[in-house]
Amino acid sequence: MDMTRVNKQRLIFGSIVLLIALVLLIFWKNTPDIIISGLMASGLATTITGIYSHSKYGVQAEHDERTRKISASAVTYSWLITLTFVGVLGYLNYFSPLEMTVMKVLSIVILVMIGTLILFYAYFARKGEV
Amino acid sequence: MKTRIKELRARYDLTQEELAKKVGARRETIVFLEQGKYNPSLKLAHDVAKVLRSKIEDVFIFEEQDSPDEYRTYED
Repeated sequence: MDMTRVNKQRLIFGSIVLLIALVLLIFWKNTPDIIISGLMASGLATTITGIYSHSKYGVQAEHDERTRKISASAVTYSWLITLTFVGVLGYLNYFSPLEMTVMKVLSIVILVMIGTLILFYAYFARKGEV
Repeated sequence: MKTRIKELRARYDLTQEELAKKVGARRETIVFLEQGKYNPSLKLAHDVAKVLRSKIEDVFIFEEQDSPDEYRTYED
C-alpha cells in the first residue's frame, strides 16, 4: 500500500506509544494514571492523525507553501491571544477573588491556545490567503 | 490578480489534482490560485507556468491596483 513516509512514521510511533501504555497498564500496576492516560492519548492522537491524513491526502502533498503560511500566521495570532489571555488571568487573580489552581490555569491556557489555533487556521484556510 | 490557469489546464487536459501533484501543492491551493485569491511565491508561479508550458506573465496577470504607485513605471 502506497503511503507517505510521514504517515508511516505516525502509525509506527503511535502504535509503539500505545503498546508502551498497555505494557505499563498490565505489568506495572503502580504506574500513575496520568502517565498511562497521557501515553494513550498521545498514541491514539498520533495514530488517528496518520490514518486521517492518509485517507484524506493519500500520497499527495499534505502541506504546501500556502498551508505553511497559514499555519505560521495561525500560530502567531493564537500565541498573541493566549499571551493577552494570560495577562487578563493574572489581573483577575490580582484584583478579584478569582482563585485558580495551577492545573486549572494550565488547562484553560492550553484550551485557549489550541482552540484559537484551530479557529484561525480554519478562517485563513477558508479565506485562501493570510 | 487574474490567472489563466483554468484555461491552460483545459488546453493541456489537466485536472486540478494532476496540476497540484506536478507542482507539489495541494489541490485547494490550485483552486485559490485559479480564483485569484492566493498570491503564489515566485517558485510556485514558475512551476505552474512551466507545467502549463507558458511564461509566468502569461499565466498570472497583475492589474494596476495590485501594485503600489511608487512601483509603477514612468510611462504610467
